[in-house]
Amino acid sequence: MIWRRTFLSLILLTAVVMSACAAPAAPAAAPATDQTAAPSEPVRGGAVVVGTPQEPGVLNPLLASSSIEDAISSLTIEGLVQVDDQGNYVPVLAEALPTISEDGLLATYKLKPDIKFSNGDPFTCADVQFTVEAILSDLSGASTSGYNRIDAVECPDDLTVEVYFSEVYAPYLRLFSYIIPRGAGDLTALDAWDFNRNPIGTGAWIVKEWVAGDYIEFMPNPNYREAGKPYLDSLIVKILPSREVGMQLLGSGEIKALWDITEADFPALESMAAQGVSYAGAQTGENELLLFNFADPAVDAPADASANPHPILNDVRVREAIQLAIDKQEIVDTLLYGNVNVGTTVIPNGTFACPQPPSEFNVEKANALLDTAGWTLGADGIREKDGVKMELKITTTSGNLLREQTEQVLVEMLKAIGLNLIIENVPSDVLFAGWDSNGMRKHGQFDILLYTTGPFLDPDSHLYQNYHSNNIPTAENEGAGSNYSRYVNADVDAWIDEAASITDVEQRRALYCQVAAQINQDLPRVFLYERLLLSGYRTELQNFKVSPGPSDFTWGAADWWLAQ
Amino acid sequence: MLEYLIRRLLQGTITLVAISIIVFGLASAYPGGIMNAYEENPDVTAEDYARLRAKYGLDEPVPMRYVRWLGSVLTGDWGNSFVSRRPVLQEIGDRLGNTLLLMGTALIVTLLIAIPLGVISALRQYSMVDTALTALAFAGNSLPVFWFGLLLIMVFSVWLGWFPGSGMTTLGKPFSIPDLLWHMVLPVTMLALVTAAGYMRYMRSAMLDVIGQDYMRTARSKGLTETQVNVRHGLRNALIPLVTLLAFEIPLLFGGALYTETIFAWPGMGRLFYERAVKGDMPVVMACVIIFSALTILAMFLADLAYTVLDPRIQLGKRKAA
Amino acid sequence: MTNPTLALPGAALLQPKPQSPSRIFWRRFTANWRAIVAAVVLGLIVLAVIFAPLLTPYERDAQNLRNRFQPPSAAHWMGTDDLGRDLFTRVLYAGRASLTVGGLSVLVSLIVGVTIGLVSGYFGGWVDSSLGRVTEIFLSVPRLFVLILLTVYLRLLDTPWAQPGTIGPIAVVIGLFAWMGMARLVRASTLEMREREFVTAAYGVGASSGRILLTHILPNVASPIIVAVSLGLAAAILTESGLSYLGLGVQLPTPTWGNMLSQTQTYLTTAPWLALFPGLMIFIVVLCINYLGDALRDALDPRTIVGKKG
Repeated sequence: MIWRRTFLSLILLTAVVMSACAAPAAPAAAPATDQTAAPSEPVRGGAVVVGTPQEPGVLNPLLASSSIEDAISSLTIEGLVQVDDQGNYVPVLAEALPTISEDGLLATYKLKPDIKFSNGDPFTCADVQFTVEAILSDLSGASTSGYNRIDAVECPDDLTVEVYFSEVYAPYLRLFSYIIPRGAGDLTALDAWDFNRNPIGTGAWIVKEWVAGDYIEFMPNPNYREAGKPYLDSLIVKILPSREVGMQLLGSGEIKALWDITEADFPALESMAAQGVSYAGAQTGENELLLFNFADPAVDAPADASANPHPILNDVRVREAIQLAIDKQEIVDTLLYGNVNVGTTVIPNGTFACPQPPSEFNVEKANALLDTAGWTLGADGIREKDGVKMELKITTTSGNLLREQTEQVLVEMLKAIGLNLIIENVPSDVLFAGWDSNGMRKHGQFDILLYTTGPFLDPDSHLYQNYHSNNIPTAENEGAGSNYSRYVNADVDAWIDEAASITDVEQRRALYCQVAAQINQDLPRVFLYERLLLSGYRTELQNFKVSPGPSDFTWGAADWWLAQ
Repeated sequence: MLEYLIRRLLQGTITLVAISIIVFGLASAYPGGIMNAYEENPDVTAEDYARLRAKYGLDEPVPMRYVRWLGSVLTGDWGNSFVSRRPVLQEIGDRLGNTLLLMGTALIVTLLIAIPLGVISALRQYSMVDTALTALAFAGNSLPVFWFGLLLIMVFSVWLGWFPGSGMTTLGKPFSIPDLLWHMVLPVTMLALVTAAGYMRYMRSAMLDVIGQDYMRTARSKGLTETQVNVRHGLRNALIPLVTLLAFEIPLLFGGALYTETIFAWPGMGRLFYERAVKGDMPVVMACVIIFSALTILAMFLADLAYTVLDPRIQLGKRKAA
Repeated sequence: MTNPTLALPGAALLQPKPQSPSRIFWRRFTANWRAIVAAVVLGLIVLAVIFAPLLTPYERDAQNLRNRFQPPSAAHWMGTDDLGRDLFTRVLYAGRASLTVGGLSVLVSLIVGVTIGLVSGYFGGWVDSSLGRVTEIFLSVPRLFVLILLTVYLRLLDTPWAQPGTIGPIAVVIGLFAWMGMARLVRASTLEMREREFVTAAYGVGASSGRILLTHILPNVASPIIVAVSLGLAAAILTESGLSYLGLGVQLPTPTWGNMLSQTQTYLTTAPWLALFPGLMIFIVVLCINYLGDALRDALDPRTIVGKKG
């Protein structure tokens, strides 16, 4: 799913062994406990099949456009700095995290020595230079965010990289999460590279065979830097018809791991705990949320919501009443089996976490608030004001079980305050469509949206794109930005701008927390619950972890081995 | 006859062009497409977005894009997939054979079941056999397809472990014919059971129509045995409506391929088309549609031909004699 | 096997008979006990669906999140669903939308399909070949694009009757993509019929084309149509569930058998009754329709052998 690319955050979650009520399998264990509990001596050899319902198109990060492509290519391709399963930035090909100069304009990386790519070429600073060149080249499909502020990459020696920025790039740690070797090919023929489906990298695994639509088989990289790894002889990525089938194959043991399950799969996971099925998860910092439209949906993409206010939702008292009437804890306890946290803040976890007090659930207060706002209860149980009925459409991606359940629960909850919520779902392509395709978010043609989003590790770009008044999509800016509420708050703008201009983590966090608190007052969005990035696996597969970063479930695949 | 062939060929070409224009227009108007993948990533800058649009040729007006596409197709260049960057023909080449194999087998199995059972059912109208076969056909016909597929996987693959539930070959084993056939059992069963029901009913219906006809009595009065009558005269005439249906169903089979291939992870065209349509991979989508349409047109033409062969009274393309 | 009392083809329509056609129809139809059973079952289901509020103490959408996934019991005959709603109640109410969508869409495909089939089979020539091209186009254009675009444009239209999720557009959409098979079948039968003696005879005495089509050809191509209708109804009920994935189906919380089924795939192993009962309803209804269609076909068909029932 597209929005999964926006994972955030630093916290981790982990391999939580299913707390099966009946099954004696294992008590809920912290990740560390889980690993230490495992037999200590890795067994060598064996083949593992992992399943995914989506097939990657390419394994070249320069061209990748989906999470599964990022995850699978991470088997072969590594970066200087990557995100581990705890949500921390950790050095991979670098000796340590980069040092940053006082003015924030020079980052220096020390590279690990004696590393070779799978084709035998040595890994040096020149490959880092080439990576920047490749990302910024004309045919690249990669995000240039951050790289576009790099003035120059200098190589004082083969193992030292100096990155000079033209202006401060606060989330600089996210850069160089992958390295493209010089030997990959000619940048003017990027689309025709063999590398695209058979990449050269420093990772533990390389592509052996790719049968389109069926499976990709990986074999150990003979030049991998850690002797004796990977433990397994063979790793096969099997393309599956659907998650449902994947769950069944996981239960039967035909596959050892299944990518991208959701919180709706908890009951099935629980029922298979006795068969040795478990799951690993990472907190992504994303929230399942309600997004309110401040502007009149009948007006096409107005720049100024206050001039074209939404007849119902522009009043903050109405938005607050809606939040008061939603029993978030009940949703979490029932629909999500208590396995996730209630949504409270735009930045729930990670280095920049800004915890906020949970919202109150109080129907009387909500009703009183609406009474004072002039909404009176009609004979049919629906409130009215100046001839306008309190009827709102809620829209999410159709066919998504958990979201459809959430919507229906909300319909019932909001009945209690005289609000008639009408479900009108659309395919995800329609919901997430861009400006040119009449995207309903971009053009402001909705009342309330239900979907998932959040900051990715560093809140900078997420907050700017979603809450800054510069990013209200309009005809003038050709629909750029994701501030779909058309929310304007000068303070919030100023705080976000200021945080982007400094690299000091503590100062930035203070500013972001001011933003988070203000958002909870103005309520352009209501955070329902925190999302998890989940993958299922079988307990005989050791060291299976999920990272909230691009490598996802393949994080640490060099260390996988099979217990007998 | 030659004149007729040429006329049909010409018509077919025109229809193909018309279809390509309609589909290109529809697919271009499709919300999002390939650019949707970048929509939700806050790190994709406005410049990145514009650069990618230009790269995919999406910054040009739709008619221009169509002309460009048609031009390169006419020179034999179907372009590269947006998703895998591989040549489109290579992408399709990898899948077409798999689809034909699965669908061809399913069709043969279907007919092998449907025709004899339909005929028996008609000849023994209202007997126990007929009642049972009818009940079976109706039951097959009333099953929700995707649900039935999942059920098959659950029972025969997950619970009993008799047959593999997905893919074409066993991973890690060298290719072998028995292994392939093994993997075909469930998808073919699903397709055959669901479609055979319909064919069987049509066959029964057509056979019943035929049984009462004059020429059947004539044939009998000429002293032919019951079997001879039924097969030589009955079956032949009863096959006429089935042939139409069949020709018409061949393109639908590709539609059915979508379901089957999706449920059983069969690496064929149906799955390719669906996955790529969702991702906005225009070059692959257009190529799939053109191949599919060409097959449809060919099938309809063959049906008409078969018709004249089977029923000499019908003259194609001629206005009713005054 | 042969029956000497068998009427000649077409003769039933041309010659006066001792019994009125409607009485023959009724006698043949009622002699088929399967059809009677099917009619009774279907009738009961329709009645139950209409009078749902009288049959169940629960409200359609009343949730109880603390009572999810309860297996069938005395209090909940079919158990409870993923939101703790009474499944029996939902299954009853779901019939309203499902049966309406099914019926309407078959009507649409029937009208379009039969018209195109008759006209193109009867007139032949350029009429036939141009309608043939139209059929080819409809067969070839991928439904996926059309359906998704429809969701987009219906949203933009915002007229009350064409809101996505209401029954009108769903039925029309399903119908518009389901007529091609019907048209080809009718065309095929018409091609065959127009060469028959009674048609050429009618043509010879100067009957108009419209009259020939309606009085001579249509009744004789009825049997493939009836079979197709019963198949179409089933398909329509199932297609609706697929459309709900595209947001074109009936929107939640309004239940249909289709959307109840497609929503429960995730729980197939843990709560199989969620998929079982709606699936069973579709199965039973479609089965009844199949049997009814079959009996209707036999009863309407002038060539069927009468009086040889099993």
